[in-house]
Amino acid sequence: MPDAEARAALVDPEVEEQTADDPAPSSGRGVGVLMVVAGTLGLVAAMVLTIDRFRLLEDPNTQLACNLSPFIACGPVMESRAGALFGFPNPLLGIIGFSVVLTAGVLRASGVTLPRFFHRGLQVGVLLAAVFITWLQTQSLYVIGALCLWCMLVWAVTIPLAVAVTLDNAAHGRLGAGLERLGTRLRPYTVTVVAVWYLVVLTAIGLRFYREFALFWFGVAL
Amino acid sequence: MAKTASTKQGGRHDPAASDRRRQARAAQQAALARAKRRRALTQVAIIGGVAVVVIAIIATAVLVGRRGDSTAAGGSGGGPSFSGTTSIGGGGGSQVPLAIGGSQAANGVRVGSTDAKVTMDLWVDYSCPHCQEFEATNNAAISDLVASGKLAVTYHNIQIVTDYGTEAGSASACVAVHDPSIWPTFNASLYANHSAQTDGWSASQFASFATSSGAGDATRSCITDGTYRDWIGDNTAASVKAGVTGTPTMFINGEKTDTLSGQALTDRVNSLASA
Repeated sequence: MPDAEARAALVDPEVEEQTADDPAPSSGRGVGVLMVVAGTLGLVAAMVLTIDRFRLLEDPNTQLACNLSPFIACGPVMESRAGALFGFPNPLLGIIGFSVVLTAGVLRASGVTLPRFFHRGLQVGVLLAAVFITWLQTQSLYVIGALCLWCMLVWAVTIPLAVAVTLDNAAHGRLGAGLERLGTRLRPYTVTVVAVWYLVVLTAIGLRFYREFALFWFGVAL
Repeated sequence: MAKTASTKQGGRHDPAASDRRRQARAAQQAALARAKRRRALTQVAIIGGVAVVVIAIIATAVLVGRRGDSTAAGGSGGGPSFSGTTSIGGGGGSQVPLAIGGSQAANGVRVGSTDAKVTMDLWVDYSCPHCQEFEATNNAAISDLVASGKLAVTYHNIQIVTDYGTEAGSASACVAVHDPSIWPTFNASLYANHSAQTDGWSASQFASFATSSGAGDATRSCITDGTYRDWIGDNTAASVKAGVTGTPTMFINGEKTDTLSGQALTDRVNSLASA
């Protein structure tokens, strides 16, 4: 037994630093697993959105399976100006970005130590992604006025990805000494931060669409 | 490597040191468990608290929104309700009945003879690019069919793409009520007018647009006040019940069909009218 612990201590120097406040200083594997799951789901959503975009181009009258009602529809969202912010459909960015997240996640989950610059690059990526999906949320709710299920799956995976990667990086001091303390404090509350973020988005959706939901789901005109 | 391991092994065989280490470890684990429990409780409390706030906010919005609705319904009788005539079709056009709201044209503007053999329901959005395309391609043909008395069209203006759909829809309803004679032209020009530049138009910009299209003062103030914005929302809600999942959606004689365009549209109407 002591042998195994001594080995563990050699492999992971952070085991020695365990304190009551920070019981599970991650080796990054947890974040790695999250990256694999989020990367896979995000990649699937981006692929579907891209393929549906092709189908719409081939036949503008095609009935997409994701058009469930006037409010839950991907067609108007994909064809909006916001759907191709940089002049090409946004999901192409998702195919690139989520592939990187998935690959890096597999490495982290299997215990590979990635260089510091890679973590910092990933940090820039997830922050840009978080800003982008937040802007897309405002467009979807207040400009386009429709919710697109596959787009919402992308929002749903980007939020925990951004929170977990950021807090993990901060706690490891990869974002500077100033953020290290804050990161160490907040990292155990990753789930809470994600849940609160989800709830804020759900509130915005609820406030914008409660009439439509009441009608569509319950047949009640409010 | 082997030497280091054996040295360590030696150290661990000291019974007193081993005891101390075990105790320290047990104490540490107890502290860890306590901290973990405390943290779990804090997380549940925060998430639960925020969830309650969210539910409260949405419940308030629903209640307040409901009260607002009932006063609006009391004041203006809900949506527009009007019937008159308008002029449609090429070559001076012909006079046909026009109705908005009420029993003749629930959730829409109905244009065409009351005994037309073919009725068409178009669920459309002034801000939807495909509707703009559809209108540009088929306006003339539809107008001629309506002018001939074979066809009556109900335009259900809803909003699913941008706010332009709501503002233009409200403006369109104002024109139908107060200046029905120009409604068919105004309807077409609201589509033609939609672009990236006009997408953010305010109600007063639509009012000026209507005035320059020949509308009077009543229409102007009706548009500026956003009188029929809620009606467009109601129509959008009604579209769900009608089974509309996108725009444009076409119903012919009450049956949902593929959106016919061009010659196919004219042929279908003619064949139904002569049947």
